[in-house]
Amino acid sequence: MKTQRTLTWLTAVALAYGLFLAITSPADVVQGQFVRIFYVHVSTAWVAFAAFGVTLIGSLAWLGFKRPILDRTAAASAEIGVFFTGLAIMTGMIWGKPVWGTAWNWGDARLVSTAVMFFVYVGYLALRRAISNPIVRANRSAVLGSMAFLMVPAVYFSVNLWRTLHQGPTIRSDGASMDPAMLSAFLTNLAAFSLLFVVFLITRTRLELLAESVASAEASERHGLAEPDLEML
Amino acid sequence: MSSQVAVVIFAYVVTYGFIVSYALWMRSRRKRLDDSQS
Repeated sequence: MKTQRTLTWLTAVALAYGLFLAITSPADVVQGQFVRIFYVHVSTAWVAFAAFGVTLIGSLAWLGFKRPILDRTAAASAEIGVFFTGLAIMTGMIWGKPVWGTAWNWGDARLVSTAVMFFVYVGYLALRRAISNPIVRANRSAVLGSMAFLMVPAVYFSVNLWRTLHQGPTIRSDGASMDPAMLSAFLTNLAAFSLLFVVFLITRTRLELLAESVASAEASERHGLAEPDLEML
Repeated sequence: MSSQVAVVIFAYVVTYGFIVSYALWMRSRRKRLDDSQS
């Protein structure tokens, strides 16, 4: 618990420093001030990818080892992934309206594939809510959670496969041609959001396990109250 | 220039607003569950 508190404070400091660097970094020659949105946009998208990666690992681990915490971690991570995908879409739309002249383009491969990924994982969360048996729920959602990860490389490589409106990868293998102050702001925000993901994942997984133990305690309490009624019959 | 700054501020308020809201939701849910346990 103390470690988590320390991690939470560390994350808050990292986010504040990332925000400071994002504000003080130079404006872009072409985009002007709008480039500052990129620091949170890419960071939220990165967290979404990482979260769906954890869902894949948790799902495969559940299928192999059948330990409840693996399934709950996969579920918690999927929820966080959906949350950050939503944020990435929103910040992208806010950026796209003034820079591209449109907030959304149905012909753009990156935008459409990201929306599809978002709804696939919303479907994963809906599936979990639809099944009450925890074992059946874990098995079925592990299969979907493993298959759904195919959307992540599809989204990532969509800008290479289809040359549409969205620009290519930010960090390329031939070296990023970015101003050092901009690169520093970008990497700091990326690290801060990664820490935030770890804090959210720990908190959300613990919450899920706590909710289950409360529900199970309430259920056994209800059974206890039902006994006198049976005796009366 | 000022309209560009306004759009950037809006983007950051939306992002951090949602993040703080999500964190607060988890915190309040935790408290409710702790209360129901005790």
